[in-house]
Amino acid sequence: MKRPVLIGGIAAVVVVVLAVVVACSLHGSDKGTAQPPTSTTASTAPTDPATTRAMTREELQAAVFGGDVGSTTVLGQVDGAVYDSVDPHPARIEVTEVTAFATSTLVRFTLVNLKDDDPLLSLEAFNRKTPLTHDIRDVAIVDTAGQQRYEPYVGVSTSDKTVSLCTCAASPLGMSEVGQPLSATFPPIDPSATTLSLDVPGFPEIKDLPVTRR
Amino acid sequence: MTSPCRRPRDRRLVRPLHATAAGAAAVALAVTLSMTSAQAAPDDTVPHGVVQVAGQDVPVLGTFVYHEHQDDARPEVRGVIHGVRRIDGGTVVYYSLGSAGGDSFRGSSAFPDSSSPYRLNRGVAITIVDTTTLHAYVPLHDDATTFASDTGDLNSNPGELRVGWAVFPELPASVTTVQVNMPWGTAAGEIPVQDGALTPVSAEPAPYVGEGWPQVPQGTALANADQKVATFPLTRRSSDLQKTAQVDETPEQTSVTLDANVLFAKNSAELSSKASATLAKVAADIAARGTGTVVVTGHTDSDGSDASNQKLSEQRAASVVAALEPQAGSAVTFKAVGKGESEPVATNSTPEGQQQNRRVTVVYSVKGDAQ
Repeated sequence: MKRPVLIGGIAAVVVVVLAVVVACSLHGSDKGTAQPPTSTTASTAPTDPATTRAMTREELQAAVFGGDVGSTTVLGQVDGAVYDSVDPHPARIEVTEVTAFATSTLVRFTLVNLKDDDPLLSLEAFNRKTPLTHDIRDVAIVDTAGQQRYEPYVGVSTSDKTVSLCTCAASPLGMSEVGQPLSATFPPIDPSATTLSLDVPGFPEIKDLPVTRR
Repeated sequence: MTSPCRRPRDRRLVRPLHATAAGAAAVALAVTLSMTSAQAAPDDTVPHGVVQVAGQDVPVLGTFVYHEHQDDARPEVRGVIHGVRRIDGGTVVYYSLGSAGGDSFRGSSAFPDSSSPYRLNRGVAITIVDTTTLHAYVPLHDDATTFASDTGDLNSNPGELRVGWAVFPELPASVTTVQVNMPWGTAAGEIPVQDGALTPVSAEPAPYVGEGWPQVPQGTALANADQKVATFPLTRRSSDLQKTAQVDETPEQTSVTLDANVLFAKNSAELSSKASATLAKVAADIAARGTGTVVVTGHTDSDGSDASNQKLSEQRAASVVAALEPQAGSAVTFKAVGKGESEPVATNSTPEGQQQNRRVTVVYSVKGDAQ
């Protein structure tokens, strides 16, 4: 008779865990916005629904405008301040996608203002050496499996040395509580890497971000 | 007062589940719940692959999101990459975009203003990036034509996607994937490179998604476009975790900046015990793909006299050459140069800046694959 009791006990635990998970899930979805942790957080990335299916135009449009295009699920977040030589601006970085491809690594994140104001952000905030290129080229990822730190690719036009580009977002000139989506493309990380860290100037390193392979 | 556009977007924080029995049970249950949720709310998932819309194959290969004018107080622009296709004389990117916010969507709000050498009101703020050969490309143009969508053609009602295009230089035959970046440097992910323009072709310059594809210029229409001016050599930037060796690689050259604070004791040109492993890696890369002359240059901060800094930088460069040369093979020759304090890369008024200025660079040409 002990076994049924044991099974019943396990079942009860599972039910309780289920209830907690459901409650947390519903609470999270009702809440809508991310809950600020006191430190960096991370978890598993969403999987990609590889499909070939029939949709109406309206359904496809609804999926694109209403679905997660890499900016909804917060994999890790950290509070810090956007650099300003006089008055740094408190802000949050929310990482919403880390995808490792064969030849590159894509990271999407959102810059969120923690105050209800409308600051003018310095071009040097995420680009100290070459602010006039108007991009965030100082962001970096840290691949501990490969023992490497990577920055976005940069390039200069062969015909006009004053024209450059970066495989990263343009410098945000402002930010609000809505959140400014930003992104960057880095070199490929080690094939064995399952997590990486994101280093954004002015913010603590956001560690243990789960990597989705595609 | 907060405008409706400034409502915080619905972002969901996911937290780690620990590897306990309860955690395992919760994971299993969460997966089940997730699957149920996806079925109940199909709008929450964006398909990836080929979708049939009104009987037409619509590839959905990447997605992107940004705010108009990169201002998060303005509506979001969202869109899809439908293809990167080799065509006669170039490479075309098909995308669709629109906005769910506002009263109407203006295509010109989705792009920075185009300016010379491009025509006005063209969607040219798109780049494709080939990380294997280290090149990026921007849209083609000639004296009369900008080979990209007119942004006015992309005007739509909220919640609609219209298809745009831009034509880029021809990609090397070896390239199988590229990264696509949309306006304001917004990454859309890695996209496969495929052959031929998408069909069926619509009579509309920017058809709604699923209603055919825009006609794109090919062949002789692109003949006067200068492919070279639309091509940017890239630099791949990396370092070890301690930032002892920062490596900048271009298609033709590798530059390694070594932290002199790790390689040498203060005011010494004798290599430290920590230097050997770092220099061995540099030497191995030179042996594998270096060619021509390897230039090793010493730099100092501004502490001390010009003469002493000049001498120290020369001695440090010579020490690095002495360590590299025996391991670097016979295909290269070495040259040691001292620059003293004359070429700072940071301010000498702070300890951090001084630390950056104390360095040794190793620059060499590379042959073959640059990656």
